[in-house]
Amino acid sequence: MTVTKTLKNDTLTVAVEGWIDTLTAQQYHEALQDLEGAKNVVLDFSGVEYVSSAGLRETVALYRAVCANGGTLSIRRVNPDVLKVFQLTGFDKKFDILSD
Amino acid sequence: MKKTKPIFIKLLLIILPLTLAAEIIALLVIYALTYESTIDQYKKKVQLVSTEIASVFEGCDPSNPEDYSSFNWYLNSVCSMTDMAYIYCIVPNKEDNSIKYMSIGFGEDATTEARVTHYPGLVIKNAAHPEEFDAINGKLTDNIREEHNKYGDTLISYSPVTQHYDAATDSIVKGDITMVVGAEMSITEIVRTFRRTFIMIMVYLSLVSTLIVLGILAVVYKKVSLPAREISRRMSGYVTNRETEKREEKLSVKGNDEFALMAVSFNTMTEEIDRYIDHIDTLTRDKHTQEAELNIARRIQMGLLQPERKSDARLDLHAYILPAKDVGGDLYDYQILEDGRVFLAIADVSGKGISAALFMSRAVTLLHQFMLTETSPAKILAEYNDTLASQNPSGLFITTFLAVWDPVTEKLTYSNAGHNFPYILSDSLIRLQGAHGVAAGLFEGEEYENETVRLKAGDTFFLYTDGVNEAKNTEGKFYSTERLEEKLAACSKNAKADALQIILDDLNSFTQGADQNDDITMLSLNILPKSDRITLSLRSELSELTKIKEAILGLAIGGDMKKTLYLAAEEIFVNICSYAYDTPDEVEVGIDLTDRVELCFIDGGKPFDPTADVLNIDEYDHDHRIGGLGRFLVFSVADEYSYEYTDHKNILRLYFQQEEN
Repeated sequence: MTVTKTLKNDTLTVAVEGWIDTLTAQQYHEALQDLEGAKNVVLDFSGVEYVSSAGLRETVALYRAVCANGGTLSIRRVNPDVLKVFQLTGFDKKFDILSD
Repeated sequence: MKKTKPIFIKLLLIILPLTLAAEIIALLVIYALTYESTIDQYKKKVQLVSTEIASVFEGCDPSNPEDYSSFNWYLNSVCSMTDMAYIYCIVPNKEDNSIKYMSIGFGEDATTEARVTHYPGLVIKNAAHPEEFDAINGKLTDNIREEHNKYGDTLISYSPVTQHYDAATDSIVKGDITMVVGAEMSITEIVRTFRRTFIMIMVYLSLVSTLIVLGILAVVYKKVSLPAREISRRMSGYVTNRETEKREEKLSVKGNDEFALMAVSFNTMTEEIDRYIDHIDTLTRDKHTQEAELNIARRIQMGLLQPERKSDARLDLHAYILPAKDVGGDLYDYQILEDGRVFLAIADVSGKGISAALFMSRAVTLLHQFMLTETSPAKILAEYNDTLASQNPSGLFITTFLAVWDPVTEKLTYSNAGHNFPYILSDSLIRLQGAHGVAAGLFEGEEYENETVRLKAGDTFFLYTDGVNEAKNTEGKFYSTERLEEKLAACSKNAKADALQIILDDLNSFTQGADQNDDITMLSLNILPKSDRITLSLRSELSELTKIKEAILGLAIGGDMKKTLYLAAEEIFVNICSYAYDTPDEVEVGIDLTDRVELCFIDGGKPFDPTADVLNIDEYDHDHRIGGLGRFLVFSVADEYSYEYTDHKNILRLYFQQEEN
């Protein structure tokens, strides 16, 4: 899994590639600890092929952190397999989430 | 080594006897010739004496001995003057074969015995010589002869007295010859002196000639043997000694003879050998460096290739590559994508060695990269060709065969850029067919076509480079496509999975270690018969997830289904790892595709029914972390599930409906 972060104004775009599962969740978690002072975060999920509950939990944690800071979390370019997981758990209603 | 026998000894043994023999022969000839001429003059003298004295007795009457008495002193003085030993006048009597001495003179050489026993008037019977009668009868042709008698070597000449006085008639009687004058000269001393002189000459000549020969040989020794020995000493062990010993100075060149020439040649030769050996030393060092570098290059090159064996639940890949030189121009590559598709490629760069190896490295890197980003072999080949052709100053090209197998559809899609078509070993041997595109790397903008063929479970896909069919044996014969096809056809009957090893063994028994001309590369893909059940025996540790993931990705099911299955499997397995045991223990994960897809988890941990108390998602508190999200996902994606606790084991079964293809 690779994570690439790009800061523009007060928005941090985080592009993730690979599978976010139990084995990579820790790496995902660590990558999201430092938001580089950004207020808003955009998760670019175009390269994410798979997300399990471990990935969901970390995304929720990120959501809480951003909200606590008065910012917004958007998830963009989510592939259908991954979107399905968000939909099953109802998180699609909670997050600002868009597929391709 | 035999002891050296100096050449001058050999020459001595040949030349000296030859010289001496020649001298002896020459001297003997000279002896004979000079002896004759020397004796001749004495003969003439004796003849002259006998002839002259014969005329003296013409006035004597043989019947009157008184007539002769006055001649004795005369004959004595003639003997002294002419060196005769004897001069005598005799009357031979034919009737009693006697001779009667009428007058006799003695010279210095006359023996005492002869002086006593011979006197005028002496008659000796049976003592007449035939010549004496011949003289009387006028038949004497040669009145001189040489005789070796008891008095030594003597010259005797008889002359007839052609007329005589007859006292009875007081007249001179002519024609009736009665008297013969003999003159004898002793040549014993002359002969002895003559011989002694000759022997002296011979001895002196032999000594002188021996000295001359020895002198010549001494010169030969100095001018031939010594230089030859010196050159020989320098030559022997020249090469072996040159390392340990200080290089000797050059041979000195004296004069302008053959040995001087040889010394010059030797010096030139040593210089050339020194230069040559230095050159070889440099080359050897360079070669070692180069070999070490090539060794590294080979490791790097081989490192670019995928491992030679790769197996999973569905397939067994086997590759073989043997470059003809240290580095080669052949390549194979494969990629098993996450969705289960398998890319295979085999290629052969024109040429061998470093340039081919570099080109190959570029090609394999490109192919590997394109396999990950593009799905159509034809498109990959086109892009691969363009990239290679855009930067190819050496004008190398690479024949490439590229195929991708989809495990769900069991279809093999392939495209060919000028490579030998591979084979499928199915119920029979099938040689792939289709468009034979241009080899890659030469012309930008080439287009390639895709072809499709079925490659089903149990079949083997066999790819090779022409190093196989063009391998030569020691007699220079090719292994040939016919033999390859024959063997593969045999394999397709009962040994598909072992085809590559069988071909390799057959190839080796054919070539019998003959020099390899070209890189030999083979690649085989065995599609294993479908296994409907997989059982994984794991430990309850998160790291074991990788094995579950691999097994699921290897299944012959759609990509979406794989992700769904893995999602469920991951969540359940994490649960087991977290709660079932206090310390990691055994977990069995079963996958069964017989009818619908079944996932089964068996653990011997604490009894726990995961199907009970599943989270109500509406109650999920996004703001606070609570558990159960994973279990919720599992039972959301599974179509059916069951749990039982039997025999101290938690058994959870999840069922999924196969999607339609």
